[in-house]
Amino acid sequence: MSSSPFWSNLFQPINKQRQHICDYWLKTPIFEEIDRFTCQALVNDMSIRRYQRDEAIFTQGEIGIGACLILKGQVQIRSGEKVLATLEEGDFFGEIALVIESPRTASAIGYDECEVVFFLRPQLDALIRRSPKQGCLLMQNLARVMADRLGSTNALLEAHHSND
Amino acid sequence: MINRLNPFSKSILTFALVSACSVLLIWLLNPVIVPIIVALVLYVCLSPFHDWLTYRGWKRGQSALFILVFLMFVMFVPGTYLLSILSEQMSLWQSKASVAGNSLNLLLEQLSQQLANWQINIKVSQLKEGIVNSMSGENHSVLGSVSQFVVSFSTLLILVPFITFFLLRDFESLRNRLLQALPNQYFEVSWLIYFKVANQTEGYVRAVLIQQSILASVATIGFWMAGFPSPLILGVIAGVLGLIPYLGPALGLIPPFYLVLATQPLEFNQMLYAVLVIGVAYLVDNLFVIPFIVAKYANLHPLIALLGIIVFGNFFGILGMIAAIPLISISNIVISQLLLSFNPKKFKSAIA
Repeated sequence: MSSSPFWSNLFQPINKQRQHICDYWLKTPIFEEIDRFTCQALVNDMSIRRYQRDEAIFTQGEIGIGACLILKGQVQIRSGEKVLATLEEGDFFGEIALVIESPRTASAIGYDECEVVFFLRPQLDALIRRSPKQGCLLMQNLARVMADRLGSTNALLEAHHSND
Repeated sequence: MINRLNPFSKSILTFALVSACSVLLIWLLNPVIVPIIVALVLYVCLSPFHDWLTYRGWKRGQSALFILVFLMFVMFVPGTYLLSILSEQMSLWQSKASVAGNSLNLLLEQLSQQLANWQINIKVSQLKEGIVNSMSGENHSVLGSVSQFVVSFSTLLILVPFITFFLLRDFESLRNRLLQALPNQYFEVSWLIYFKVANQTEGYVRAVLIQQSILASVATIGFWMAGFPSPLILGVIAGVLGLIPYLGPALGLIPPFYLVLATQPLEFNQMLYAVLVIGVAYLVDNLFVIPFIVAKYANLHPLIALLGIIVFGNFFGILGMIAAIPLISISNIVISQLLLSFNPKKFKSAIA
């Protein structure tokens, strides 16, 4: 029973891991310069989910609602059958869904048994409403992360075209 | 098996399942459904304040307790005062029931004669009996239900602050627990639907409360200017009845008409003033309040809204009529979101 994600999702202890999760998020570029109090308030509302090996965290084309951070295990990012990246503990993914309501650009699959925490778009909206300064900072960080990723994608595309 | 269904059947089946669970929950909570609804409305109104406090370092319990004390003060002191005025006014109105009945009798007699002169044969006598009985008969149905309302209002005054306190303190953790229980496959889509429905409902409730307050204020000022007794009560009743779409204006005219009928000698121009006051209040409502405040939270086709109100009204009475528009809007969001989530290919065309 304990190995089933359903039961472990349902009966997970609350608040035990929260400080640990806050530390993880604060190390990511999304939470750069965000104060601990704000981060902890956000983390207290975040959902922790457990996935089995080969279980989809989200699937390409589905509408996304938030970004995920890996707490335990490894996650593969796939586009169709092609593996784009293998992410580990402390890495985050799916941040585009924090900004716009759009279909997921790739699938995220549990590479082994894993645990991820979801940071949902409405939580970000609420942060912007309640604390505009911290919210703007977070949005700025998000824009920076996405600009970086766009830069890397452009470089890859350029390299791909020059190889052709 | 559910995964083998096509997106439409899957969406409808999921919607039916969610609706069945909701109906079961409402049925189970039936004895306390009114205080819960009122507490939920208060929760929607007070949660921004609660969030503001918690975000500034207050613990959830402390913040909810502070709001509870504030609410008790706000609801208890003016509430009991309002209740005493209302009871006093109701007993005064009740004592005038026979006068109003006689006046109505006289009016209907005249109407009957006039109709007979025009060769129109309507059984006004039956209509007369029905109305007079409902006003001053043994069961005192109209006034009796008002007295019952006063009793229920007292219960509400005690129950509502407590339910609101627990909602403010624990609603988010309960919601998180509930959504946490969903299978991984449906986790994101459930949150998406929840947030859309919550946003729409919260916006609608706040907009409607503002709308009804403006309506009640305009009506109160109008009744006061027209020289009606107890203009505040008449205005508040008009505002509350305004919650019932389409029928609200007509129902809002009943109390002032009753007061006119209960006054001797009969002053017909007061009836015209009542129509004018309600007319102006609804004109302000339709021209300025609905387009700017309510419309974006209830963008339903008028025909669907009207049919919904009739159907819900038929099954659940006045409460059903009030709940019809938000419930149809919620169903609309849930079904369209399920269709988009189960058939993502449609997503691009839907947002284009």
